[in-house]
Amino acid sequence: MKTSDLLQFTLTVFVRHRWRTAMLSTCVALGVAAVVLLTSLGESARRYVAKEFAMLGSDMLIVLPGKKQTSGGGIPMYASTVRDLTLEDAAAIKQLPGVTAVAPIIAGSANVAFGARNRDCIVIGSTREFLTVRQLSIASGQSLPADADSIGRPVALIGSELKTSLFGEQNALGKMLDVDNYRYQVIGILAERGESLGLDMRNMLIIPVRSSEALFSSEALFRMLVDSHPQTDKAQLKNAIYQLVKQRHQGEEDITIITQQSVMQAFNSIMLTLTAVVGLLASVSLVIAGILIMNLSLISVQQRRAEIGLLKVLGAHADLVARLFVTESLLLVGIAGLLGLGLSSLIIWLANQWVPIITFVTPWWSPIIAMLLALLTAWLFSYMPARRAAAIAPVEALRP
Amino acid sequence: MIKLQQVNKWFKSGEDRLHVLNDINLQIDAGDYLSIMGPSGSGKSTLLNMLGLLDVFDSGEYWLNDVATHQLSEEQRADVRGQQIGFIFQNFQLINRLTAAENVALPLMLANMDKAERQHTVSGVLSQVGLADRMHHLPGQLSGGQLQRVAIARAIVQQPALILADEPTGNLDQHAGHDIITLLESLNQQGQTIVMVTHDQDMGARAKRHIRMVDGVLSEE
Ligand SMILES: Nc1ncnc2c1ncn2[C@@H]1O[C@H](COP(=O)(O)OP(=O)(O)O)[C@@H](O)[C@H]1O
Ligand SMILES: [Mg+2]
Repeated sequence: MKTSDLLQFTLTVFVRHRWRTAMLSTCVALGVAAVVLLTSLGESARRYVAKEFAMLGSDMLIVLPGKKQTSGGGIPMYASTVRDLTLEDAAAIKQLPGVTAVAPIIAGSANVAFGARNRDCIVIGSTREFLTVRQLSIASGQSLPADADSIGRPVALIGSELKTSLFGEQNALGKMLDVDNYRYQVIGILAERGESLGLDMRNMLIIPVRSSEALFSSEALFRMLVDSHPQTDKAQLKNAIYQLVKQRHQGEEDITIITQQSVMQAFNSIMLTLTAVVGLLASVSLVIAGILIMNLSLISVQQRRAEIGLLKVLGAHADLVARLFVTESLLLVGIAGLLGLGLSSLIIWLANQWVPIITFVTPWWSPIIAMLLALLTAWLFSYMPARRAAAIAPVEALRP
Repeated sequence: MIKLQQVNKWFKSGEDRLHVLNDINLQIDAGDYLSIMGPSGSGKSTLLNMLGLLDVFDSGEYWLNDVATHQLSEEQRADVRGQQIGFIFQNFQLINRLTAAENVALPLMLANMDKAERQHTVSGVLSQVGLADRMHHLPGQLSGGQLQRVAIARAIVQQPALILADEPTGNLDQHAGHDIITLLESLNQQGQTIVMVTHDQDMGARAKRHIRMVDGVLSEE
């Protein structure tokens, strides 16, 4: 039988058994769409977070107190801090060649109040270099004083949303804020900027790092952001910082340095694994669709014994009869799979209309894998029904 | 053209073995028109199935156009069925989802004939059986007599050497049955070899040769 005739013959079967065809197609389409959608979700999340990390800039290094226990990839884990990272360490690092800015950070949460209104929010103690490194700018007023790392002046920069929730439309500049047991004067308002690395800058208060030592009763730095010259070799700089701090900490290497590259690598590998696992779970739905196809095909073979017998009477070989049933399931799954791809594209398009923050993308391999998987399932599960059909004797056509 | 030599066939029925074909010897020449009559269960259909290569016998030889069919593989037997034998069944055996034309085209499709040639051939054959105006009807829209004409068209579309008809009028009323026999007769007059099993004395009598089967034993009048 010619392939075109084979396909046409199969289409007449689909039309005849509309319900069965519609039901199977729906299952397969949903399975394929599930695989594509879940892998797309994983990939989109990965890209979204990767973009956030990219905004850190490749010239920035993060210095954390404590030694990373695991070497190589994976999530950094920290042992208890042997020695605190201090402002003096920060000043020393600042002197290293290639370093353009160091922003020491002490962070914690505090209750911030203006008159009757108050808010719990994150307070960051740092220097004006923090704004440079994090690419923040001042909408009105001024930045932190230049001596923020030596004198604990009672001044603060306020995030745009925090400003609105405490002051409304009022002018905030020059007003006094109660932060736990301390008072700070608002000297600047941060320009609006979205979320970054999970920290909502719009809801933060920034004070001189010396002031925050008093506020949080600790001199230990939470971390340090080190910006470097674009031409500086990052690996060398990383090494130099390790050496310097080791020397300052009595030969103890008790810090961890994260570069954008190392974070991205670790994160990418986690997300890829996650995407693969989720995709695999979705594939189970395809296998279930495959089992359904097998069962309904077996029923179909039973119902069509006379027809199969007749085809053999008319000269069809056993392998043609088998091919007929395999074609039937491949064609059905092929068409349904394409519908599933269409469905997933539609859903992703709609998601992109409704959720503008995150851009949903489908990784190029996901539709290919979903289709191949669906077709492979169809082929595997149609094998048995096809064998059974092929074994039917031509005399079957003669039974009334 | 056809030579059956000492063909035997047994069917198992429980413990017993039923001797359904008992030393059958039969010669059929091109252009013959045979009727096979006999009591129910005497082996008529079994004999026809052997002639049509639908089933295998236990001993004996079957020569068709000088081919020893008893030595062929299942695939080769399928080819011989497709190319040389046309079948007509009591219950028509048409595929209900296909139109008359598509049903008739089925053997040509299996033989890889291309579509244009197929359509030409099919419409010719359907005209020959008087159904030129019913080509695109589905079986559900046709009468019993018309259905059997479609089946006959399908049987002759490959211009087979031999047509086998097993009680072709069994499901038809007197009038329609008569028309079918007339159609078969006219095919035979054009040289078509036909072997027909029938219950009906009158219809059987109209054949050129008359075979009787009783308990698996064949005799010719
Ligand atoms: N596949 C089979 N298995 C066992 N017995 C069969 C089979 N086919 C036919 N028979 C038996 O063989 C005998 C002849 O059957 P058949 O050729 O159909 O008779 P007829 O067509 O003359 O009525 C019957 O007794 C029938 O029951
Ligand atoms: Mg019979």
